[in-house]
Parts: sequence; structure tokens; C-alpha cells
Amino acid sequence: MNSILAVGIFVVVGLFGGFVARKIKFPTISGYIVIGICLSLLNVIPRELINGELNVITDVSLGIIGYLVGGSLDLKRLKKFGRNIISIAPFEAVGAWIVVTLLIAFLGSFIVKFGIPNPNFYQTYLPLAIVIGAISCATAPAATVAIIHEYKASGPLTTTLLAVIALDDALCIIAYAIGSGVAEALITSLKNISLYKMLIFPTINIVGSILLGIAFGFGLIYISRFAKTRQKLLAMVLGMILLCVGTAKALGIFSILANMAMGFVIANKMRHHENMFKVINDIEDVVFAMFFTLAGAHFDLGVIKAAGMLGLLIVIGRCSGKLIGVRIGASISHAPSVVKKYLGFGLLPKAGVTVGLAILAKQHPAFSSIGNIMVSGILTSVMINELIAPPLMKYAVFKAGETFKGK
Amino acid sequence: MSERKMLVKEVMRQEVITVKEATTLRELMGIFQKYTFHTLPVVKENNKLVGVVALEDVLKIFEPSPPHIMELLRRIPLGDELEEINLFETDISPEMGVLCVVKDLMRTNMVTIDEEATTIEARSLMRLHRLKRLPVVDKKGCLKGIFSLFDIIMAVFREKRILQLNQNEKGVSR
Repeated sequence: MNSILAVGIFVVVGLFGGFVARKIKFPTISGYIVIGICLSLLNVIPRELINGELNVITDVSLGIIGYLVGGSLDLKRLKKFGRNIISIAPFEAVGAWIVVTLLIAFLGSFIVKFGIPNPNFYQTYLPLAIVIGAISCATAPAATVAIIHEYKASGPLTTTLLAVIALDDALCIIAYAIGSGVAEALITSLKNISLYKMLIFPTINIVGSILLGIAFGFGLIYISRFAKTRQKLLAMVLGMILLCVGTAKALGIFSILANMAMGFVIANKMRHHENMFKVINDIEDVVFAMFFTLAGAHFDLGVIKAAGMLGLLIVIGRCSGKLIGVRIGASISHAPSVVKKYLGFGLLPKAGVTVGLAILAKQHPAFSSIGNIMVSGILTSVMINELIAPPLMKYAVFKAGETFKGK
Repeated sequence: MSERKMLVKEVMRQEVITVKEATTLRELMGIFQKYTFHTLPVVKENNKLVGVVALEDVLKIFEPSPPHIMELLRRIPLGDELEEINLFETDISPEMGVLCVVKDLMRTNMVTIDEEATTIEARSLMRLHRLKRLPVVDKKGCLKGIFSLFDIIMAVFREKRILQLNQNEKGVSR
């Protein structure tokens, strides 16, 4: 099978999966991922293609996702929602990161069996735990948005929830940049490891990515003034995203973070920036159908037994971390009691950025030994979350009395 | 030979139908019914432009969540597209006609054009944002007029002396 045929299958079959998911009130992304898993289980797409030539889809899609996430960080709007958000978002994100990391690091050796000789704590379990922990910060908006819309929810809980979700993915990308840098340092240089070495390379990478994104952001603002039609604007925006991804890859820095910085500059430094993100809507469906179906296809039946338990551990760690983090953040900012009690339940769904970063981590050469088990574990946790998160979210908005019926 | 660049202020329409933030939905619908254009500037007492309201914005009253929630929902990336409202299955009370005012419906991040800009600049702005009418403002942000595709066509016709010839012919036939 050639790569073009594979892409065609991903788009057509993926879109069908998304359509069915919407019909049964599930997020479209879940439909794509399930279809991808089915394609993987049926062995339709050769594994060497999934792990090889098709990586370009992942890189481009993650560039677009990073750009959109950065674009949602409108500082004026975030300031409007005040200190509750600024306090809660970092705590719930770091809470999930820490609890997941601790759980996997210490229980990993009992539940995850690696195919490598002598897996040890510092070179195998700790890096795996740090990367999965960082990726666990993200929250997917689709299920939450659907429930808010369906039950006409509004009030302090709903508003805080949406603002935290908007910030969450950005925090996750930064956490991944830090976490993967530290994990890479752990795996590659165990013998002469120092805290300085462990932190300096991720820091250089992160600062470099942000600076590159800022430069491309201002570049895009400048060239966009020459776009006379939306089609030309789309070509310019997409062109700059590709240039940013390509340059970041060539420099060996984080392309998703660079694109996020680019989106952030556009959203905060350009007066009429709405079009700069709306033009992406025209191609979003086809790109995401390709990307998330491909992500599902990374699911490996061979590691499902070990990944099942790992997935469960991720879910437990992430839920507890988010709930504890919200409690701490909300107490510090003196948020209303409904926010303190129930916000954590609304932050449980995950999919988009989580899956994207998992695939990115799998492609990382340093994580070759832990990549497969990591992706399968994360995909399993996404599936479990898809099932348990919507009822919990529903419970939260009803208990908070923020549904139309509740009022 | 290069043609003279027409300025927006030379061709814009200065008599503009405007609404206030406190204009009710019922009054707004009356204005939309009376005139053919469906985008109106919203001004304050000193003629300062604060927003625009279009006929499509009226659909907002059918939306289930308050405007700030809808704004947040639309801006969050990777969310499912919000389902289109079924106009035929909505339950809105007759009181909405007076309870809902322009301030609840208008857009504040509107695209405007400076009165000193050229018509070519205005046309590119209209194409980029897919707009048919642009509010014209001065340096202080006060409304000076409205610039539409019709004004461009009229100006070009005048420039090419098509309208003038037409008038001359009328004069001869009289």
C-alpha cells in the first residue's frame, strides 16, 4: 500500500467515524480515534507506513493545533476572568502531572512489562512517568462544550471551566516541552547526570521555540496585510505554519510550542485577528480526520494487556491530580464553593492535544523504547475518559445548579 | 497613465441610518423591514461608533447560552462545531421584542475604514472580510458615513463618465 492510498482511507473512513460519533452524541475526535484503532486491529494500514512516511501528517497537524491553541490565549479575555483562572489552571495542570508521574514511576514496574533488557527506574520508568504526566495536563473541550450547550449551563462554574480549558492545552504543551526534555536527559545521560544538564537543554529548547514562534508571528502579521482574499490569507497562514514547523524541526526544537507562540502573537498583537484563525476552519475537518484516525492507528494490539492497566493508572492519577489541584487553586483564589467542589469533574475529558503529544513523543528518537507502550496507554486512558467524563461533567453542572432546568 | 485615487470620504454616503445600544429588537426588526441593507452601525450620543448589528446577529437570541459563554465556546480550539440552531423549533416569548436590545446582539470587534483611506484599500478590506458595507470613521472613531459596494460602482461610473453621458442624452432628448 502506498501512503496516498493510506491518507485517502484515513480521511474517508475517519470522516465517517466522526459522523457516527456525532450521531450518538460523542465528540467527533473520538469517532476518528475509534476508527483508527479499528483500522489498526484489522491490519489495514501497514505499520511501517504508520510509523514512517505518514509522520509528516502528525507534524503538520500538530503545527495547526499549536497555532489554534496559541490563538485562544487572548490576554484581554483571560484578564477579564480574573485571578480564579490564573490560580486554578496551573494548580490543576501541575496536580495531574505530579500525581500521574508519581503513580507510574512507583507502580510502573509492577504493571508495565518492557521488551528491553533490564529496565530500570531512572532510565525507563521515571522518564515514561514524567512524559505521560506532562501529557496528562491537557483537557479536551469537545465533550464539555457539548454538555454545556445541551443543558444550557451558565454561571460561575461554567465560565471558569471554559476559561480554564482554554488555558489548559497551552499549559500542557509547555509541560510537555519541559517534561520531554528532562526525560530525554534522564534516558541519554544517566552516567554523568546533573541538575544543570537536565534543565539547561530543555530551557534552551523552550526559549528557542518561543522566540522562533514570536518571529514567525510578527512575520505573518506583516505579510497578511498583502492578502486581499480569504483564500490568499489561508495560503499565507498555512505557509507560515509549515515554515515554522520545518524550521523548528531543522533546529531540533519544539515545533508545536513555536506554533503556539506564533498563534499567541497573532491573537494579542493584531487588531482584526479573527480571520487569521477562521481561515483554518476551511481545512480543519480534513486535517483532523487524517490526524486523529492516524493517531488511533498507532494503537498496538500487542501491548494492549500492559497498556490496559497503564491506561487505568493514568485515569486514576489524572482524575485525583485534577481534583486536588482545583481544590488548592480555588482555595487560594477564594473561588465560589461550586467552583471549588465541582470544577475538577469538568476537566476530565481529554483527547486532541493529549493524543497529538503522545504521537509526538513516540516519534522522539530518545523514547524509542517506551514510545509504543506510552501511546497505547494514553489511547486506552482517552477511551476510558471518554466513557466516564461526560456523566461526571453532567453531575457537576447539575449539582452546581447551573443548568437551565436546575434554575 | 495612472488614474486618480478616489478617497473613501469622496464617495461614501453621509446620510446613515444608525441605531442606539438601547434600541429594542422590535424597533430593529422594523428598520430591517423598511430598508434593504441589513447591517447597521450602533452609535452613542456623540456619534461614536460602538458596534455594528447585522440581521444574522438576530439569530443570537435563539442561542441557548448567554453571549459571554457563546464567545468562550466559539474560541476554544478543537471543540466540536456548535450545532446550528433550528429556527423552526425555538421557543421565544413575545416579550423578547422589548426585552432584547441592540447591545445584546451587536458585534464590537467590527471592521471599519478611515475616511482618508482610498477606495481600493476599502475594497480589499471588504473582500478579505466578506463584507458588503463598511462604517467610515474619523481619527476619533466617530461615524462619518457608510461605504458600500454600490458606492464604488457609482463612483467608477461617474469617473468613467458613463452616468454623465446618460444625463447628457436625457438632456438632448428633452
